[in-house]
Amino acid sequence: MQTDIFQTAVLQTAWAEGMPHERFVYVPQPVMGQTAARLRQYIDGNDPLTGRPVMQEVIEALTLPLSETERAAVRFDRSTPRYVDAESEEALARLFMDNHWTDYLPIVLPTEERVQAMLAGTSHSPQEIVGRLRPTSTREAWQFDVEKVAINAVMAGARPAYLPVILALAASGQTARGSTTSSAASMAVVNGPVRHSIGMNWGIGALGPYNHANATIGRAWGLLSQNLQGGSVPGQTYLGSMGNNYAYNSLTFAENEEASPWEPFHVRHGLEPYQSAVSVFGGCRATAYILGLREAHWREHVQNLLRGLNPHTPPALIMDPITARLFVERGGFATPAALEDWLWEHATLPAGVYWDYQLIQNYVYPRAQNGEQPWATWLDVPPETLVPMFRREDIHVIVVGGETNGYWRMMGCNYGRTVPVDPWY
Amino acid sequence: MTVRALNPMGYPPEVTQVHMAERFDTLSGRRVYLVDARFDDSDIFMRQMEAWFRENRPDIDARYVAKRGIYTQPDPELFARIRDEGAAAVVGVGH
Repeated sequence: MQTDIFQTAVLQTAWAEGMPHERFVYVPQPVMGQTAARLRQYIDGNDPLTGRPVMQEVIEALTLPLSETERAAVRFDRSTPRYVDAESEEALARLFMDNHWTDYLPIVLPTEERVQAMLAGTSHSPQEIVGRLRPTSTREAWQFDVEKVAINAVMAGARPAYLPVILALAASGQTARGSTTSSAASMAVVNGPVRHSIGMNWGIGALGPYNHANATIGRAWGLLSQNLQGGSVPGQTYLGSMGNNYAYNSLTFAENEEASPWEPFHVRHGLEPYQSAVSVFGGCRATAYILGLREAHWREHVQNLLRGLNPHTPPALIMDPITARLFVERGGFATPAALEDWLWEHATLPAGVYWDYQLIQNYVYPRAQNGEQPWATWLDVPPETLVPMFRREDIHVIVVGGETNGYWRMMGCNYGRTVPVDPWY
Repeated sequence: MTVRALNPMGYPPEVTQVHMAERFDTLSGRRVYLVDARFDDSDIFMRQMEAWFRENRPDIDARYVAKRGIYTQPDPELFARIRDEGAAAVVGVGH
């Protein structure tokens, strides 16, 4: 049983799973939020795609003998030609757009000569396998090599010097074009000496369109994600209901290590200060902001921000160095870990409210039922008992900005991993 | 003059066909599992389907069952039970 709006994605997935003739029956979208009586109307009604009674189709799907077509062996042709040809540069650019290979901004066409020039940015073989990506955990993963990453880096307008960072992003396994209906974007934080060597921005406007490396590395991550995972096409391999403007360059920036009062992010995740790394986050949707930390009520203000997040998506605090120093001086947080501890302790909800969130029902409640901690412990507490909104290890702090003021943001997102850049030179 | 570029798409995995199961000619007297895939209120939907069977096809032993784990995860224990004890299954509601 599926809802009708997902028919194309459903048939694609069934085909890729080797079941091109799997029998489906469709009901109207949405199921979520409907009453039992309304859903009974769906069952008593007609399949919106065929116009036939839903339950008649269900019974037939389970009892009609297999047809010759359904019994026949299927050939799954998946060839992807190495080259793409057209009569002119304009026609070729148009072909890339029509194939959904771009982000609908102008691209640099990846000619063999340009890709060769891009490959000068790494010592790795063009044919070396880098990794695999998929739009979501329920879809198939496609594989790719160094050359394929370089092709997409060219399209994004990146320079060869950026390629090791882009390869590290590609190797992270984190797509920047997730297909979730929730319209999430991704985020990349670069640390270490590579920030200097390729001229990234961690100061004024670091998260905006004001730096070539930030802009094109982030764009390359997006383009390589959509193309190397087998697409990011609305209704097929992308199902985000509203879409997300953050996805244009996937919130790609460098941390302001020089002005931060704390250890750099990558050092807190197992690397040395002299190493370069990129840390990837997914599920970026919610952003709340505030100015500074007021002496009398900063704790309540921060708690208000925390409660504004969905408990399924933990906070990453993205703060200007001015605010980071305020957290040290006013809050007494000598380390980011101390601040993360405080955030975890003060981000709470009554258990009854917590368990009733739709995303908690979808993603956390089944895990709690399976005995996974810490959630299993919270299943049986009284509904008014305060429970943590997040797991402690999912809360993070990053410092960026040019100190024109002490604004800071709370981004709801999921930390993935920190990937070393140096091995990709 | 032809202009040539390199294809930016990755390499898809091979697909292996999974053959469909033979169907029973009737479900009368047989058990059909109605599997709640655990996505967005699918439990309410599948319970309504169970009620439909009770009211309209009492000759079919239609049973609601919730899959363990989140909707993206398989439930091998349940799938084995369906294979051993059931004639068919309806899985829903997903996307």
